[in-house]
Amino acid sequence: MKWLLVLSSVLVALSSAEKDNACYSKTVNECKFQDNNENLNDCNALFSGFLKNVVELQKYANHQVEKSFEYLLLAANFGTYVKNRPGFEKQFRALSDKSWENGIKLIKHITKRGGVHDFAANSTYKTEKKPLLGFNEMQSLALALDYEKTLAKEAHHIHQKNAHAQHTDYDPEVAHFIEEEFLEYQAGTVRKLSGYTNDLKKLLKEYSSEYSKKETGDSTLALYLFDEYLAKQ
Amino acid sequence: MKPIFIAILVICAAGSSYGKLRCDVGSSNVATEWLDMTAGCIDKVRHQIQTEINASMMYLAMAAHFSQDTVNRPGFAEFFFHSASEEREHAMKLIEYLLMRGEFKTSADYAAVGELMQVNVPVLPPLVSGVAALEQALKAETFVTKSIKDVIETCERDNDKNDYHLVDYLTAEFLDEQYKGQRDLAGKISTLQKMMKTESSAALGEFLFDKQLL
Repeated sequence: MKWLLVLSSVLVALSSAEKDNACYSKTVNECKFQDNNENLNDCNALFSGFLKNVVELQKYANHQVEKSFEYLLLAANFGTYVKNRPGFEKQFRALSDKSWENGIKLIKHITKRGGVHDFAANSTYKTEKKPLLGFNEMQSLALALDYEKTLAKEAHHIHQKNAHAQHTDYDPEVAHFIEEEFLEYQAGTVRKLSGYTNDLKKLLKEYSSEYSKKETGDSTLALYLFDEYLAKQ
Repeated sequence: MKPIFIAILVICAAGSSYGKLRCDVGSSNVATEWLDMTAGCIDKVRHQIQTEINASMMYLAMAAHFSQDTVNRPGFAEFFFHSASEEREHAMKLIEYLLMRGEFKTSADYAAVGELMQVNVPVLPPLVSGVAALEQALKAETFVTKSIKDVIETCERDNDKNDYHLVDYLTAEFLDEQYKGQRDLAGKISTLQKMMKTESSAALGEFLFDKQLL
């Protein structure tokens, strides 16, 4: 009788990795026959379409961690005594901290859903590394805006993959997680950075003599004041 | 209506095209006599940044391991996530130190540091247990401590100059934390080993210890 039960439980396990009672039936057998089974894989947290798209979350987590170190370097660029823009430094440092926090958040969520994080998963959304030094204030803000948009687009991509109705990979929980933890905040960051960029563009505009009959070379002062403003944000 | 609108747009565009963006305001000209770190010492500090980042990634991988459903050690996971962030902060502190000393100003400085801020894929030995992970952590911390002492030794006599301030900073801020951290890890390993002495107490010992870490 025992072999029949074992055989049937194996068949059950084979028929579907995600059988609704996989954990229960396996455990019942193990308790009954006191099997020496170290394998706990049947009692995992996996369900729904999560495993189909987990690689997207892994890529995103790694991308966030990498971005956090790029932002750190960008912040350092404005912390030099030559550039000396504490306001800009503070903003880029905040972006770095946020990306780091997001990376950890994603790893936690992957494991929350029964996944394993793969540190080698490489995001296709990754941009090539730029030689950040020598980047002036305007360039850096523009770059950060593009970076944040790329990160936001990747979040939208993950959401779309998980939330698409009638999809076999459907996993509303992941979609909700992305919505709750990323989408709204990212829209805010993108808007904030685009606002800064446009403000700074206006401030750095110099008018040629035929327009104002005078050189208005006050970019330097504008940058100083804008940096002070950023330091208070 | 439409042509008028377009005409207005064209006029506006023409008007604003007079303004040119001047984004580069040129550089300042600050004397550099106050910069007194030696090249060898700077190089050591820069490499230490990468060492800290590597440690940070290693802890992140350990945290990810203990977060898994089939491992389920939330205490260990939290402990290592915290360690990962701490190591990242060490890297930032070193960058801030170089910025403070003014030894981070040219594109060459920047490129050198940038090159030493690589996010490498962490490679972990298979973590069979909580004790193994703590032992791995202690090993890593011992390596970092040795590496900091190496920076100190170099900066004490590179080019026959003693960088008193950096040496003091590393001793007071970094080594202090290292030794306290190592003592903490050693204590944890000791307790956990004792809790898991017998085959039968091992599972319960690790379970209870994990909850203590939360």
